Amino acid sequence: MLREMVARGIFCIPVGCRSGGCGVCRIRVNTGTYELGRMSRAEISPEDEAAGVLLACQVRPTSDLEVTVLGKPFTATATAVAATKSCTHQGEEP
Amino acid sequence: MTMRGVLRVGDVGLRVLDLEESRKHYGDRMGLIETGRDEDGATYYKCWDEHDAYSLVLRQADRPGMDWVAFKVYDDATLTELEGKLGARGLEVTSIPAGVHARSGRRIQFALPSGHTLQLFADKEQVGNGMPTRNPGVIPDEDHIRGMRIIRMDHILLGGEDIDGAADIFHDVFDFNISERLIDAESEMNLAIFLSGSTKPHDIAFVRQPNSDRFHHVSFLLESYQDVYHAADLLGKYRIPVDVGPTRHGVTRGATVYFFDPSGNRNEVFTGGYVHYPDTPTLVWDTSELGQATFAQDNTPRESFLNVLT
Repeated sequence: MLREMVARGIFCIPVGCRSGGCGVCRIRVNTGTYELGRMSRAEISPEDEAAGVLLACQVRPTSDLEVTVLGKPFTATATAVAATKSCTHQGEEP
Repeated sequence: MTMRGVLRVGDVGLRVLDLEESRKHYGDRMGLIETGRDEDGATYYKCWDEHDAYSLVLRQADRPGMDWVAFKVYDDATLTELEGKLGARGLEVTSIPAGVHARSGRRIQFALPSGHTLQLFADKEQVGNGMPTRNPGVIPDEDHIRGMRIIRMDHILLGGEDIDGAADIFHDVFDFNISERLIDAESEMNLAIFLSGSTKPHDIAFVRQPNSDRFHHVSFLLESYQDVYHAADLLGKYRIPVDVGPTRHGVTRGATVYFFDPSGNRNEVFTGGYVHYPDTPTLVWDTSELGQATFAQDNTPRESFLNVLT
């Protein structure tokens, strides 16, 4: 979903490595279904994953999703930008 | 000038989430030359104009980042001398026997104050650069220079909390020079420190981060500005995520493009930059010019470049 966001010129989720490694595009999926790519275990624990806390770059929506943007906990600037934002994403190809 | 002591970045061990995808990235797209695989799949690469058997090692793991960086030193006596100096400084230095790292002589290893694992070694099997050493000619066979036409590994940038402590070791023990610093304009605190053990603008650099043992990028040298553009065209063609560029850094004056491997580890290919001698004054940038220090064509800093590490 991050690639779709960038391709459309929308910037409501921080964009980092886009490869599941850096953790800046951390989101919580509130509603909807999706498939997942690989994510660094240093960024997303099994408990996170079970709770729908994921890296947006590795989320492939299979329905409309409603997500909350979390950003990376320890990057103060990214968190400040992201903290209060949430956005709705229409289901698209990854 | 006679360069002895610590010579250069000899090899970097990177963790990747998927070896097969990573081999496509580093081997096919970047064009590095695969020189070996371990039983567990760990894969070894060299750049075409490097003589040593490898400079990059990929290992599959559940998180990306850097396992170690190893600097090559001039000879075994240098290794012994540095082992003593590091120990005298109170650092806990461990010995790694020859052969533990493939095709490598003995190594010593210790933790930098920035949390990174640093190794030193003097000997590694040399496999050549595709040309003979007598009447070598000027280019190797066609299958050596391919992909992004990378010549050799050049430098690394690491992130951590105690970057001053890490830089002190390179400066005090390895006789590296501080070529440039980026400081906070008000507090004068070092935000990034660039160190040269050669005539390059930097062989290693450290950037201040809220966590230790972070990996910012490994950088590879290209021949020309045209090759930087060619690399960027390949990045676009193969949909490899680009971080920044092509543009030019203020620090080091390198012409650059940054991108990510399939696990989020940042790579750089670059060309240009000035010649640094031991008597070249240290250049200082402060945060009132953060834009130009980082990217000197549009003078605009990128948050991702400052915050995204593995």
